Amino acid sequence: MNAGILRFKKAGIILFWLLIWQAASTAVHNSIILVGPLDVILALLNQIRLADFWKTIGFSFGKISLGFLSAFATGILAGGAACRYPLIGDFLSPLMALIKSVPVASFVILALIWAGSENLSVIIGFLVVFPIIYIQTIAGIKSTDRHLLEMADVFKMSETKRIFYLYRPALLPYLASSCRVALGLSWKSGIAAEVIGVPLHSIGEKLYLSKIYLSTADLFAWTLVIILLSALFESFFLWLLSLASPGIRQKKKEVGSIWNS
Amino acid sequence: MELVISQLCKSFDGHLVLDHVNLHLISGNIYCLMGPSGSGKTTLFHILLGLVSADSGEVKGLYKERISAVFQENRLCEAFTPVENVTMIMPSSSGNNKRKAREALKRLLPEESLYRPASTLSGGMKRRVAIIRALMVPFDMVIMDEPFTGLDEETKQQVITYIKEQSAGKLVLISTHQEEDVQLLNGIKIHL
Repeated sequence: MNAGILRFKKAGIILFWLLIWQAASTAVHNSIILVGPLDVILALLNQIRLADFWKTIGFSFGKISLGFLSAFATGILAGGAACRYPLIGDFLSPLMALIKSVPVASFVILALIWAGSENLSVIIGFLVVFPIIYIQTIAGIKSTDRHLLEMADVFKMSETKRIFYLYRPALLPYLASSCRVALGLSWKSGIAAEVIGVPLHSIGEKLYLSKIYLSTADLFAWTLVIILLSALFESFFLWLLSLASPGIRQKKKEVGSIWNS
Repeated sequence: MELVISQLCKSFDGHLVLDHVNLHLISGNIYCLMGPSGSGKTTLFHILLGLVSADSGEVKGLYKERISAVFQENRLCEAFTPVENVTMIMPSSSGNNKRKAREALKRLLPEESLYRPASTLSGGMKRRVAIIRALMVPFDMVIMDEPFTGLDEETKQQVITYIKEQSAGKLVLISTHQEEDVQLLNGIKIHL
């Protein structure tokens, strides 16, 4: 099936579900319980015109991205250090188990008490993403071909060259797949934290207000915005990550990509 | 360089692979290690490269010597080009290294293949990259584990000329199953 027909088919399926949604909304005939796609688009268009809309997006995007990026960098460094010095891994192990098992809601309350609502989504984004990146970094480094490491020993390759030529290609596929999961989670948990903490000018605040004013159209419109922002950030970040790996880009041509799957 | 191997033994899971091996190898010679599959050639090489330790016996003359190797598997970084595979093991990273690697590779490989990822090369091409890589670092001894696998006769001849040229005066230890390789290399046959 060629690309044109495939796109047409996808558009048809989306249109089908939009029509179902619109029909359900018309049948329910209650804009608090279920609004239709047209109402959502109108609500979104009304929001887009306001300067506050962009300020809100900037606030939440900045905070959640900061949480993700700092967890990404720290996770790689900590994972690398844990592989190099197993004692560090031993020390971090209980901390990781704790972060993974404590409910996000508990962290949100704690973070509210300790740091207030302003940077809530940064902290929560970090705590959700950090263990994923840390664990996948260790898995990626450990997946490095043993034969290549022996070759590096025989030729006395420097540590920097080993990182660049051996560990990097092994690590990047693991990072790409973990980022795919972690990016979505950072948005979901970051927004959830904002709904609980209600920091000013955040998307979470807007969702909270939608609930207070029973404005389902606004709730759906903001949800659509979150989905779009999350998807855009994910695509952009995975594209950046793919640039770090010429070999994996080559592989993409050969077997279809982990980046686009 | 003089390498003396005495009473070397190695077994895996109770199976004796090397049984009191004794060898005396001197720089300037090409030694062709012959023996059926499973006779311990690769194990001996791994012991000399420090990748495996012997159960007993002694290897003298290896201390601080620079050893290079062509492994039985090519052990190339598949995502990188032949030029990168060669320069990555050279002592320092400089433009000069790239030029040297390119010149060496061009002798045994078509130029268009030098900038493709190693994963896209044929088995014979990968083998040649592995051989050139081993000869591009400063070494006193080079170990080559069945280096001519996957090479046609003409290419093998070119590779042998290159090996002889680049390893002149050094100690070369090559494993092979072909009697004719010993003649082509002007080598000294050793049975394991």
